Amino acid sequence: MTVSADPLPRELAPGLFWLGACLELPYEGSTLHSYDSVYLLRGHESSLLVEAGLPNDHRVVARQLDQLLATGPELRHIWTTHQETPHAGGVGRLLERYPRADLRGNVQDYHLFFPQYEERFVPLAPGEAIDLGGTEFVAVEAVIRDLLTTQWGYDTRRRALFPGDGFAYAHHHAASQCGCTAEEVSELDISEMTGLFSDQSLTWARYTDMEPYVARLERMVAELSVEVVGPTHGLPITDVDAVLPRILAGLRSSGGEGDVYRAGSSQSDC
Amino acid sequence: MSAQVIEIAQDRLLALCNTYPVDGRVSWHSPSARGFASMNCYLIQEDEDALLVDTGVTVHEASLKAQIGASLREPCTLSMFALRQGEFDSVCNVLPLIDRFGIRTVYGQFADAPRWADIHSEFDAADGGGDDLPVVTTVVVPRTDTIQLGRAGTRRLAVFRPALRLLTTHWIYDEATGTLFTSDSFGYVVRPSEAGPWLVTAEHDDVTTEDVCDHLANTRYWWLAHSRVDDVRRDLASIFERHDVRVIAPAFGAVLSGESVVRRHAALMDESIARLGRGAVSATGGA
Repeated sequence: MTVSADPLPRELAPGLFWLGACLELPYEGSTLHSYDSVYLLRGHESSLLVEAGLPNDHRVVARQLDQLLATGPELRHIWTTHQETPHAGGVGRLLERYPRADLRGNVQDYHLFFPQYEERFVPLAPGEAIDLGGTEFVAVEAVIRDLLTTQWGYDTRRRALFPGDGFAYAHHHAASQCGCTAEEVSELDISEMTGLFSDQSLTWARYTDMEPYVARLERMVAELSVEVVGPTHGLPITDVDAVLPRILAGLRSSGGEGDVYRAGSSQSDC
Repeated sequence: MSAQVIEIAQDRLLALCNTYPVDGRVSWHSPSARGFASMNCYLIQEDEDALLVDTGVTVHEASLKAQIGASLREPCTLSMFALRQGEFDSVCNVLPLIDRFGIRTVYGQFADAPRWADIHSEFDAADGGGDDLPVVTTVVVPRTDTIQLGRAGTRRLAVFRPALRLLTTHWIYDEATGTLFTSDSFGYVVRPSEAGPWLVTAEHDDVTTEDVCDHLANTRYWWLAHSRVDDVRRDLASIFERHDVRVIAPAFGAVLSGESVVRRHAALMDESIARLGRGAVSATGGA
């Protein structure tokens, strides 16, 4: 599949937009790409940003947001899965750029990183929701995580799950897979890529029986009737039934000894 | 918040300590912990070379700049190493310190370290920081490496990735001072007062296995509970066997100093990991 050189932002479902840019990951002689995606959710009354993005991407995300917010409701909430720079590095810049927005989610630690915005940090615990008008954004348990503070998010109208580091996998830049959903790149070995990412970034998985996590993930997807998945690092998924088994196979296979980050990483132009 | 500079080895290694309240709002301490802890950056110096290990958090920026400014030899070339480049407490002050001290080399885990740390709007590393920031080279450090400091390269820093890590992390062993820089591990010391002490010696060492278990299980090492921990324990033991560790220097908590203290804390950590692996500790995380 051929996509444009600058494929994002892309509307995945009505009012659900995928933003961000690829991150290059040299790996075993080829160039893998990963995303540090950001998603914009429009309600009738306000908009919410899922993740604040890697600092590398702040200009790209700002441009994409300008484009989308020009015709949509005001950005009032920035929600992050957890306090890592690939997920929350843009918090300070975004709060400065959108002075009526607050930071939601687990807001521990941010007072040490962005003390000037402390009064705009509003905790959102799993089970609690933000009403955007016509839809709710609900914080849910993070089944796959690194930091203990991690939470996932769920948009009720679009039945969209935002799992942060869950459903994380790289894709191939050379095969024009950037900007595609998982279903659009059938040649991508999602199981292998999920296992690779899990091994590198979820180091604990190599010491742990992943079956209970896999079972819990399957249960959550069924209970929430998830129709769209917006991972931070993987390609979005719009056919969950088709892709979920490949993700789960990758999680089960975690534990190799490759090193996707060894040769470094850099922001891609796509 | 209070600031202290602790001389670990005269003229060669300083701990730059800046405190913060442990009040339930800091995720790298157990929710039950109360008091104060220190965020620690370390300044290694040899001849005209200096290396700063980690950059701490934004609230300590001014204090850290003052500590470094007062401690650096002249003339001196200062570099920095972010032990966890994807985490705020390692990189919050990367750009402010590059700007203040003209740093030109950053060691880390990913390319383009200044842009990874570009979290403050007063800088824009994507734009080369305007005219103000110097051109910075990022050295992407592999799993194991050696950094040499000093005119003859005699100050050797062994760099490696420990099995005991949550995210992409390096530890450093400084042979000259026997110091092991352990990033987010061994950071469990919390004191009732900002005064510390932030150097734990045999006289000030009251940490128990229960404290370490509580810290691990309810912070970043939640996953140890019910995990297969043999490889993690073996790796940790081999680190202490390979290196003559006389000081443990974590990114937060307190510096653990002296051979008997180091031996005790290595054993405390090992026993705590073993207990967690056996499922003998109540933990918040896990499936």
